[in-house]
Amino acid sequence: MIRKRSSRSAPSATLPRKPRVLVAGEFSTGKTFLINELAGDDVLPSNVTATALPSVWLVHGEPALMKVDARGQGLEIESLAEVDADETHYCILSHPSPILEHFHIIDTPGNSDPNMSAESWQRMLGFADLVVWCTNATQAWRQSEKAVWNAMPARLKLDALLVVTHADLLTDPRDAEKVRRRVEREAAPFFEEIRMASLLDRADIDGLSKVLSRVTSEMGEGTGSRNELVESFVASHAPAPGKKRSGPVLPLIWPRRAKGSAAHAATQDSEGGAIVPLRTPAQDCGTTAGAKVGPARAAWENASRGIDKTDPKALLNAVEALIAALDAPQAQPSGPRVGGSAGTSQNRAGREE
Amino acid sequence: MSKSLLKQKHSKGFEVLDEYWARLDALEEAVEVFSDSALSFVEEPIERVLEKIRAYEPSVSVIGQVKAGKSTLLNALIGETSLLPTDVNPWTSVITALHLNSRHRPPGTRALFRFFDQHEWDRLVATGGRLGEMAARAGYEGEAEEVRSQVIRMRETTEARLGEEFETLIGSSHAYPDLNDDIINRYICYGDPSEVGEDVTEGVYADLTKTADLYLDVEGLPRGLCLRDTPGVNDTFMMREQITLNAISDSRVCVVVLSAHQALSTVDVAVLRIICAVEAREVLIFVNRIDELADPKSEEEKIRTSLRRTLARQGFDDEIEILFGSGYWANFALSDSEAMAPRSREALATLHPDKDLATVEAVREASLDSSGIVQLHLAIARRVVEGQGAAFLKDLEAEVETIIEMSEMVDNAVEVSDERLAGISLTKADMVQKVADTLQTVMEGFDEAADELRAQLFERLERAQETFADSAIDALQSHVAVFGETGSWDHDPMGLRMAMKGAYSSVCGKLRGEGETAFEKVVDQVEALLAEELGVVRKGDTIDFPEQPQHKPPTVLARTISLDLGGSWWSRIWDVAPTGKFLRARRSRRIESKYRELIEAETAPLIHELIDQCFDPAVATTREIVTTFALDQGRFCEALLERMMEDSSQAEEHSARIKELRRASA
Repeated sequence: MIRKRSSRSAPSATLPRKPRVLVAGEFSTGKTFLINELAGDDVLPSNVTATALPSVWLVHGEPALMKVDARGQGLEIESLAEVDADETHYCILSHPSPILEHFHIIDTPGNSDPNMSAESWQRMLGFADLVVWCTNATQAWRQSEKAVWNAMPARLKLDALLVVTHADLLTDPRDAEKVRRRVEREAAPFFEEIRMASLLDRADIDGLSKVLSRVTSEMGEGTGSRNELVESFVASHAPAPGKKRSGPVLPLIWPRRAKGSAAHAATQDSEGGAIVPLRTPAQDCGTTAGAKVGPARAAWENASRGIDKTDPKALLNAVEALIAALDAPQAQPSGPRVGGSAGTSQNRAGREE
Repeated sequence: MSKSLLKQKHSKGFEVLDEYWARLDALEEAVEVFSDSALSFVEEPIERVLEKIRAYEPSVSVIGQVKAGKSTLLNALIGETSLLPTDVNPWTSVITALHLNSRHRPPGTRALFRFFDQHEWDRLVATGGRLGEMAARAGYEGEAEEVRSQVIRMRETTEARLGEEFETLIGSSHAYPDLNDDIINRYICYGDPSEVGEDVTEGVYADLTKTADLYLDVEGLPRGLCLRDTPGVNDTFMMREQITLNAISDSRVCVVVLSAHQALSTVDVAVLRIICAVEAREVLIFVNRIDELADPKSEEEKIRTSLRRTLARQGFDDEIEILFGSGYWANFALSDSEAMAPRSREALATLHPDKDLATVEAVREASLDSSGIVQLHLAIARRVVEGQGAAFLKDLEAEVETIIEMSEMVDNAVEVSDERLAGISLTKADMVQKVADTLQTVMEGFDEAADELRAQLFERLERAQETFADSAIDALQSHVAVFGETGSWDHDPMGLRMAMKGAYSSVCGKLRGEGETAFEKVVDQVEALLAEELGVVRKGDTIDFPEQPQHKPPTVLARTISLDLGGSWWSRIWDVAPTGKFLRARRSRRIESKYRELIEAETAPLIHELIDQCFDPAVATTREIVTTFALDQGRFCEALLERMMEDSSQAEEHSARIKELRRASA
């Protein structure tokens, strides 16, 4: 994946953006519950059967909510009850929870839900800097999870965290140990860290919270695509300076899940719901027909000419050729960075510089 | 409530099955009585009927994802709470048949384990089995490599562990006169690789064991029922899943076990599709592990609603019965265990707000009531009796009816006048020859028709494949037109499956028609023979043709689970680069042709398997039934001729016996 350097993209990018933690896994593995526990508040509704909500992007700020449709149009709304998962690509929700000061959290609908397309959560991958994969302790780490994980973009597999949720359901500590050993044996090659967690246990949650804070703070600037809609949403709902909230977070009440009410949505619209165009990750990353060809793109077209772009090896070679071309003496110091589909140690080093 | 009362309550649901067996027993007895005095020409058909009755053992498979609680549920079903080993990790590695109160128990044997033979083992390790072959064909060398390396690892550990014993085991079997945990654990569970040592015997033969048969004689449980435990699907050790899926067609009734934590994922939907290719009404869904929910009652309603909606959306029959329960609760009720896991007990209390669960007896009773096991027994028994059981009985009755009809004809033939006898010039040898000629012409006609049907089927299957490839590529192009080359994309293979299943069913229907035609021809020619040569008029329309068996369901169509899973091999061909952004316009034509090739490579074996493994055996079965029928008719003609020639006086006693049998079979 070739990204333009953020400093070149837009003037609003002068502030460094916060890292984004995407929480994924099969449905009913406790993703939403985990997020609520991390946030210390019922930020999101959860349910035992599949949750018919689109992805929700949590940011720090005064409570506000926006839904984003397939064309990337954002519309501020009152509650998640107004969201129709078929028409909404994702929602952006700001909340004053302290953990969101460190990083954004993206909640995704469960994978393997026959009523939700995989696309509904996969489209968020482009924005993520770090993935937390949840697996249920009672049926931990199955082939369907492994297959999805194998297809993950390589850059996201580097620091990923596997959380074995509902560990409290294994009442016998020996059982918990057996599950832990098997998951370690089978999933260790795919994850930076594997943790067992009872979502009812404060110590487990705090431990996870610490790991996430540490990993995200060490990460530097994330590899996820820019999202101007989110940035402007964050800017307009930031807590007023000096009025930093202290003490307990006010409970917010969100409906568990319901169909949107048309009347409600209409009022919202007329009362100044902001509509902001969104650049999709694809637009950010890909070449659009007729786009002006800059030096980096020209170098890429040169490097990638005639190769089989479905072949990872050939691609990797092309990417390396591109880097070499850009690193050549005449190349500007701010050459494009690589954080894409290859995920070799060189790329990693590149990202950390 | 005492233990014995609990046990009684536990097996109450099976009563329907006992009634059925009583009926079958009565028929068997009547046929036996009749056979003592039957004329020799019906000996063979009578023996066939008796053999069929004695061999009849309906079987029920329990299928589901890993850790859905299948083994626990089976223990609960038979009330032997710790017979099958269970664990918190995937554990069952072998299809294990539990034969309840079986008449066919090999002498001195309670446990029988069969090992793979050299050919099966080699094929498995050479290619990773069908799964490995499929992945390789689809261009997913990664997956193919993984399956292969899993299998190679398994082979190495197995061969190293067993050493020289390996050679003697392969292709053989082990039998034991008694059942105990230690024996069972050696053969049917994975074992834990972290636990090594001299004394660890768990799973020592597991990889090499192909099937396990356990024979249990338990009072209160029904006779002659086989319950089968299967390795879970969606295991990271992918080979086991194939073994389970290949075995599905052996059972007419399937209980699909879901875990209440995650009821009906895409994997469950795929499994249901495979089973429903067998026959929808024979499927039961059991949502297990409800004892692990905080509030089982309200969550059960939510899960039920969501299951119904998902099943409807996915195009499943809305009559699939859904039961809820907990194998753990049933086992607790029947075991000697004193303490229930606290969370599970809390959940139980929410279901029994009016009961005082202070004593362990009260807890046992409540947990049996809430376990759903009695309802599951009843549902299984009903399906066995009403489905395959009813069909089996009908088939038997038709055969008995034919035996009666022929016996009566021969009996009545005695009363032929001497005058007519004088007019008969046919010798027995002539008769045999004429019958043989009849059989030959009928079979030639049948074979010709069957060949034609085979060609028809092949053509229709190929057309279905082409149409599917076209529509898939159309869909691909319109996806590109609408969304550009981004996003994941897949094309539901359901259409292909429906078209192929339709072609197969329609041709099988025609085959049945050809079978009927052959029966009719045999009857017509025998009638003509009797009328012309012996002067006997037989009313052919009273003859029941033997039942042609249900043709083998086309499970091969559904066996390729990868076709069903989104995000799997087929759909990922488009997903080569996660965002698809490297795929430019020129690329799509290559993708198209690669995609078409893939569809063809994947479906060509399906076509061949459908013809070789489903259609050809169906032809052979029908052919055999027609031949047997014709031979019976031939023997009948001979007996008739013989009887007419001889002078007999036992007729009256014999016809009384016939009446008795007729009453029993009705």
